[in-house]
Amino acid sequence: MKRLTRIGILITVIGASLLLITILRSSFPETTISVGGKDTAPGRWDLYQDLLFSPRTLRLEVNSNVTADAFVLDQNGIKLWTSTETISSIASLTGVKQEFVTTKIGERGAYGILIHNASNEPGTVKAIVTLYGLEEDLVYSSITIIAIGLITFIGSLAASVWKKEKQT
Amino acid sequence: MGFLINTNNIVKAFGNSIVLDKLNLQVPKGISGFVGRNGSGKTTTIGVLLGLLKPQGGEATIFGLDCWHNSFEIRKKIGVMHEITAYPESFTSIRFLEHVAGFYGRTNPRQKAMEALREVGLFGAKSKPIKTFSAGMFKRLGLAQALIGEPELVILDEPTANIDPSGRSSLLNKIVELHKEQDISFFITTHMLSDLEKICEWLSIIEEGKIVDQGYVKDLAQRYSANLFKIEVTQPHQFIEKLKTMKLVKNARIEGDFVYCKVHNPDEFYVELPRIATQLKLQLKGFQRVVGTIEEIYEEIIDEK
Amino acid sequence: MKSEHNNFFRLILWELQEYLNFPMLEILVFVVLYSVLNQPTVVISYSMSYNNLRFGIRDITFFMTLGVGALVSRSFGSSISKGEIKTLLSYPLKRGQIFASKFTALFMVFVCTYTAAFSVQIYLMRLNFFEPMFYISVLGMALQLLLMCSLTTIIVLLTKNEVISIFASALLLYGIENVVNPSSFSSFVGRFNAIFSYFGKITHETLPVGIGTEYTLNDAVLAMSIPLAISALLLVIGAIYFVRIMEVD
Repeated sequence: MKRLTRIGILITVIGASLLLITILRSSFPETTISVGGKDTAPGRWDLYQDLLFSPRTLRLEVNSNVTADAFVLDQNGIKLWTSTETISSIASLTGVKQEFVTTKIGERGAYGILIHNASNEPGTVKAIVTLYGLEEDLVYSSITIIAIGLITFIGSLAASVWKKEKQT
Repeated sequence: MGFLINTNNIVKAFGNSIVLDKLNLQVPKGISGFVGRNGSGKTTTIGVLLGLLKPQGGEATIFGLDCWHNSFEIRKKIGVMHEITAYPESFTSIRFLEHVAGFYGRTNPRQKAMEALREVGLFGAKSKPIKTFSAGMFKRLGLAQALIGEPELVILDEPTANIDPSGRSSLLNKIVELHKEQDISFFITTHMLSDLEKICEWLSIIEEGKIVDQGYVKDLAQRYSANLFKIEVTQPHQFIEKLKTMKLVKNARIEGDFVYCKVHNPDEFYVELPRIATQLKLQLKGFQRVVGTIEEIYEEIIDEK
Repeated sequence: MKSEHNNFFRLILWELQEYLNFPMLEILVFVVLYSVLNQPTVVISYSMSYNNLRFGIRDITFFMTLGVGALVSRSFGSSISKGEIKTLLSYPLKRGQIFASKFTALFMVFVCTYTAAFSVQIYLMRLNFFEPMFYISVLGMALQLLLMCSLTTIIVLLTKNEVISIFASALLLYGIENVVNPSSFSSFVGRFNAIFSYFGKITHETLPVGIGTEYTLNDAVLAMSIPLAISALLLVIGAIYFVRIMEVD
């Protein structure tokens, strides 16, 4: 087998393996993080940062006995909040007690959850974040690798056929 | 006389089975044959000579070097074609021979590989995987890898097994050509005696792990086929029927117009022959002693031993 | 001497071309990627994400056992049983060269494949490229690979049979892991945890997540020395057998 053909097959196998693994990884139990707690003082803001999120579908759920706000912040949002207390979030729930919202995480990295007791009384304010579905970065990477592999493989085969025809 | 291969009382056993029983093999320069029945110890002898098997007793040398302790030095100067070969089947022939040329330290292994393929008539198949080769091509590849190191001695274990007659003839002619042009010595083991007929100068015969006899073919022929006669007579069929009844005659056959017969006692046969012809009222046109074939020499030796 | 070095590298190339021909390398790559990457993310903390390198190590060991057993047995076993060793020993090659090149080629392939697969974790866990725990994990895996390759080599040299040695090495390696206490140094998991814990404490000033015991330098050294020492012993025995004793017929 020609070297380039073999390289093409190997690259395709790597990409296909990665795609299969990505599908299998999505079948693991959903990643769930619960933040917040009892007796949150009225008007209190709590930031839970240093959370590793992969680019999957995110579900933000507020579970509170008082009116609460919850926000999912990316790195820039965290910096903005810590420096200027300005909120720039990728997902938010405001003035809710039991509510949820979904969004897609764009990039793998560090994220934070900001929760706020928006009422005048202390209460239990909890935010639950669940990540599920395929990791999109892995899906795109594996498809790209498969494409590169197939192009290399088919190109090599085409080149040998052309070379054989030229000889005859 | 200096011998290329010399063994002195080699003993080799596998468990309780003694395969080589004080083997004393000598092989000079030239094309030598090593013949024996299946299971007589030929391949085991090759294993000992190549340093693959350690003998329990005795010593074996090639070029004066011990076969077990100096195997590496010996292998720099020899080429080998085993009976059952295991070449990497996924390799193409050119890649395989390039590696082999590299092992022998050749400076331009790829070029050497191309030359070797040309030498054995496989250049057109250089990019084919070895697993697609026919039996004949396999043997030629075997010869190519045995020759690529420019050896002084090539050991061929059953080189003509499993190939067709034209392939065998071509391989044997190649051996003769290489010996004449490049002064390479060959040590050929085989149980097909007819293959050695035209090419062999020295013959060693092994039986049950022992050398029963060895020497130059012409000397062996003198010793062992002196009792062969070629007789021209009218009515050869009638004549041969009579011969076969005589205790003096070992065997007899008709070839063309001649009767060939092997006798126990040639002097007695000289006296009896004209008397038989007269008795049968046949005309004895002529008779002479002839040199036997290697096959006949071998059978004679085995019968005697 | 130069020619001997060249022959060593040429033999490694021979080994790679012969035993990693299609589809062996492809199967190996798939198995390695699957065992290394098909793991859930346990630790969500971004700054502690290096801890995920430790989880799933048991599954990696299972597939490692099968992969090493199969490839090493195939390489040594089939080359003895099919006669390739006999062919190689017709050329001016030293037995030691053949043994060393086979082992080196196989070990290199495993280390490179596992390291490459493991390095995907750098991206998945958003680790710093110079994260020391990544390299410590690779070291731990390499030591285990060395042990597995050595053990399988000995088994196949003794049995001279590809199939028997695959089963025997898989049974032995996987059996040991399941019989012994996973926190003891007889187990790969125990040794890996000790190395991970000690170096984790040094580099991150905190015990890794899920490890309650604080391991000392002696523990870490012992955990690294055990596979090294056993591998060295097995390789010496294997080499002596291959070079001085083994008959090829």
